[in-house]
Amino acid sequence: MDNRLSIYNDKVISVLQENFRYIYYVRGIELQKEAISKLIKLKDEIDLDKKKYISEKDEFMANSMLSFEFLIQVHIDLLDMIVFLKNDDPEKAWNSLIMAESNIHWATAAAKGIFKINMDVLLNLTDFYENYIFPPQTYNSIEAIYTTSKCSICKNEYGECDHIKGRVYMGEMCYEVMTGLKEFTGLSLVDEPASKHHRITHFSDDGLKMRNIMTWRIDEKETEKLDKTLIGKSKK
Amino acid sequence: MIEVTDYLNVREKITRLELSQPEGIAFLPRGFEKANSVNELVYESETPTIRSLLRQEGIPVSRLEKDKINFKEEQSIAFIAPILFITSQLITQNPALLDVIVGVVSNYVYDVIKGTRRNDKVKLEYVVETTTGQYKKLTYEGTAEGMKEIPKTIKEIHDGQ
Repeated sequence: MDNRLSIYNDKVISVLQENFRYIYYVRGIELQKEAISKLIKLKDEIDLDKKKYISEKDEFMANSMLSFEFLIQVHIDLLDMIVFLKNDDPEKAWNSLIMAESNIHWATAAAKGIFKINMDVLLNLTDFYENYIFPPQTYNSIEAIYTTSKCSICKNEYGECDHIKGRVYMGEMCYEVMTGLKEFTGLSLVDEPASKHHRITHFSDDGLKMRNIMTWRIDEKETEKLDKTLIGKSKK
Repeated sequence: MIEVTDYLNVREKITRLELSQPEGIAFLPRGFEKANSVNELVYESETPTIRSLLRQEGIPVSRLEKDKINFKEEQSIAFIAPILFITSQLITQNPALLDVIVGVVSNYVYDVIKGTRRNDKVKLEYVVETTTGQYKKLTYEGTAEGMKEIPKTIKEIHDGQ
């Protein structure tokens, strides 16, 4: 391993290990918030170094810094999730969990084997929370027809340039940005969505009250929307 | 699992839809079999990515369309690869390219699923032009690992074995 990379690896892994002890739910919330601050500080430092490597056109180091950023962000997301759960905000906690899952994938994609860390430990942790702490979710998926999409790196038409989505170029992840929406063709309920952010958040079992899927509480605001929808329908 | 079935005459259909005849390989858009006009065709969302990956391996993909064909985006986790039409010309002149083509797709599938709990099963379809001018569809369902059997089967289909 490149000596420069080895120094970063040791530094990042040491901070992550030190703060991993707070990833257990029962740890003190004030300690978990403190750990989040430390990790954000570390991520900011790595980001500054990434910018330095980008300015030096050192692609290997710039890409490695990005993968460290994703890895640190996974730990921030997991701690955020726990803090949100303790603050009785399961919606935001869910979003943090899903961000953690995405960042594990991006960290792995960008890393090219540079980490001295077992990503399965993180995947097992997110699996546990998703399957046992949160209730089962119903996901939806949109279907649409597009005329064009752009490459996030060079802004040219995606597919005409040599960048590939999900790959890292000079410290930046390539995305395909859909631009020319022609037609929205459908919405389906799916078991495995592209994004677990797209889920049914409320339902009504009596047509009168809307219940939050996460908390099972009646949600007054959503119930009010339901009332308006029903009034709108009855007027027609 | 690999399944081989009869397929419609691709070149006749291309002519009927007033598309361009391909050389080497081409993507067949969704709806190709039933379409009566080019306006009914859409490419799968992974088409531009696979096209770029193949181009980077020195394998250009022929374009059937004279004007642009739209593409469909589905926000499901399933990996929906475009149908790849492999001409008899490519298989006769450079059969070794089949390994490269299949390898490009399997490596990309591996990249997409690594670091996730996504199902590693994929469904791929190849339409093969045979030496006798027939067309066969090869459907593969399985893991990226199992895809290495595909080139051999394509060659056998092409040779009429």
